[in-house]
Amino acid sequence: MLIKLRKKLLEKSGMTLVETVVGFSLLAIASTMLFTGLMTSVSLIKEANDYKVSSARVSTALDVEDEALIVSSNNETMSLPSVGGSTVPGEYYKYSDGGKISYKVFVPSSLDPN
Amino acid sequence: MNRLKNKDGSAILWTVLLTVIITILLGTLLTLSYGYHNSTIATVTKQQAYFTARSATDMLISELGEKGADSNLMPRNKGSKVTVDDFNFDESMKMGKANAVIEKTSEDTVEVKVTATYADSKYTMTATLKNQPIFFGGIAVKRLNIPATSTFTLTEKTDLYIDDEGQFTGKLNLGGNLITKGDIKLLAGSTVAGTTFSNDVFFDNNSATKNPKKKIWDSSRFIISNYTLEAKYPGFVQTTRMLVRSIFSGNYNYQLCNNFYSSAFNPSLVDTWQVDKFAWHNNSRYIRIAFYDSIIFTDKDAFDVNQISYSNTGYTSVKDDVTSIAYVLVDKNCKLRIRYGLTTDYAGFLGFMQDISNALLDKKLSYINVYLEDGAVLELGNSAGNSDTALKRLNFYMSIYGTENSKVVLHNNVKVHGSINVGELEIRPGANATVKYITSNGGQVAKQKVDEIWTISNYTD
Repeated sequence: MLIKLRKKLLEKSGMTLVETVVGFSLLAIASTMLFTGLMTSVSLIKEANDYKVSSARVSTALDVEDEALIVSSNNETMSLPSVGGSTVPGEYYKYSDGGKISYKVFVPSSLDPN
Repeated sequence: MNRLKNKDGSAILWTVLLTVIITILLGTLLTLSYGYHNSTIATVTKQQAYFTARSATDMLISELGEKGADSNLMPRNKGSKVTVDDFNFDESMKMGKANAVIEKTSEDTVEVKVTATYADSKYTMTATLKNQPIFFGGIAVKRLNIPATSTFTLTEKTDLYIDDEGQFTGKLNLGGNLITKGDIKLLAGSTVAGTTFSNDVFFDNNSATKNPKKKIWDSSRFIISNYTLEAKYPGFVQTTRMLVRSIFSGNYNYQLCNNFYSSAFNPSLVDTWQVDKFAWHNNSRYIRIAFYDSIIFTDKDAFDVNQISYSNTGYTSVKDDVTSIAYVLVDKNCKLRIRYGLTTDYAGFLGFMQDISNALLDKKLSYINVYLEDGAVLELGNSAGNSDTALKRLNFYMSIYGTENSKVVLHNNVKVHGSINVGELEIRPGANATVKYITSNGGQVAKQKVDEIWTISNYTD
């Protein structure tokens, strides 16, 4: 359709120069919009999909409580959470996937099977 | 009309129309893509809110399960609530915030409702905790000695209670639960309560950050260390001794060291009670203690027995409800060594049947109760040999009780079916011994309630 339009625009009969210029400009703008818009959409969908995949991967990694994910092991720089006035012993687990997504969870020692 | 049919200059109109269509299409596409993207981002933040809610819920389960009614978070009366405003997660973790409401919905049920907030996302999680009793049954000893070259196995549902510190270097495979009064170190590869530990695990009183005194997976799988069972439940450790004493309220017979006693037996479950060195007695049922080949009293304080068995030769009037029981007492500072038990073919029987025509007895359970006085030692499987036949005969169906200064020694391939409640239990160096707790054949003590825990019964994500 765009090619047919281009051919019609090149036919000078019945059109002033201004109309031709405006016509080509509109065609150029439409083409650019189409290209940019499609690229943006693809980019958004791709990024959203990346998030989804990363999220699923990270959640699974945390659910299995991989020892490699521990970020606190009696780490004195990190404070243990407390509830009811007493500190709850346990470990912080953290997993990030390429810096895009980072999930954190705390697992009390008494519930940790290992 | 002619002007309408004149198509000159229509290209610009088509261009404008196409541009409008493309703009609308792109607008729609971009809106959908943006929405999809935003939805994914919301899912990601919601996922973290879920993890934060789960962390807070687990903390409450840990706190309430650990302290129970002693926790100031436990609502006192039915219908009362306790509110938690913050769980104080480390700031650097950026886990967001969580709050909770704990409500006692019945005397033995508590409902926990946690709401976590992360970025713009909120997640609410509820859990129901129920007060459940913890039962214990199996081996109760003051000291357990497993040398480095030995393996000690307690089968599923067989629990281990150590009245002191459990310091052993051998491998422990504990299918049941563990309760220790002192600190305990579980070596890498050990299995306790169905969980195999890949690293050495210490349960002690000194660490504020890990290795809690209780490690409870559910009401049937738990480790409790530094736990004063005796103080909390007075008489538990001595219960079995009292039980044995009460059984022997009447007359009884026993063979101890180099002294032999025989008199009427009461209760009258067995007609006669005799120690037989060489020959079977006819026309009577009796407990036979066969001596250790021809070598008797190999050392001053030891009484060597080849096997303890039961016979009903020639006796055909046994009633259905007859259960044969043998009582063996080992006197102070004496040592009883029993070479063989039974093959598994005779599982449930004290000994092999001499007269199998009396089938009624085949369905009856029999067991041996052994009581060890102060300083007494019972060795099972001693010098049993390594032939296939010998190895098959190392099943001992017994309930063994003793004072805190008594001792049981298990040799290689011995399997005890019953319970052991003595001062010290030793596994011989290089030996592989097993205990299986059963009440039907040997264990006279049913599982006892030793504690109560608040454990999760329902978890709604």
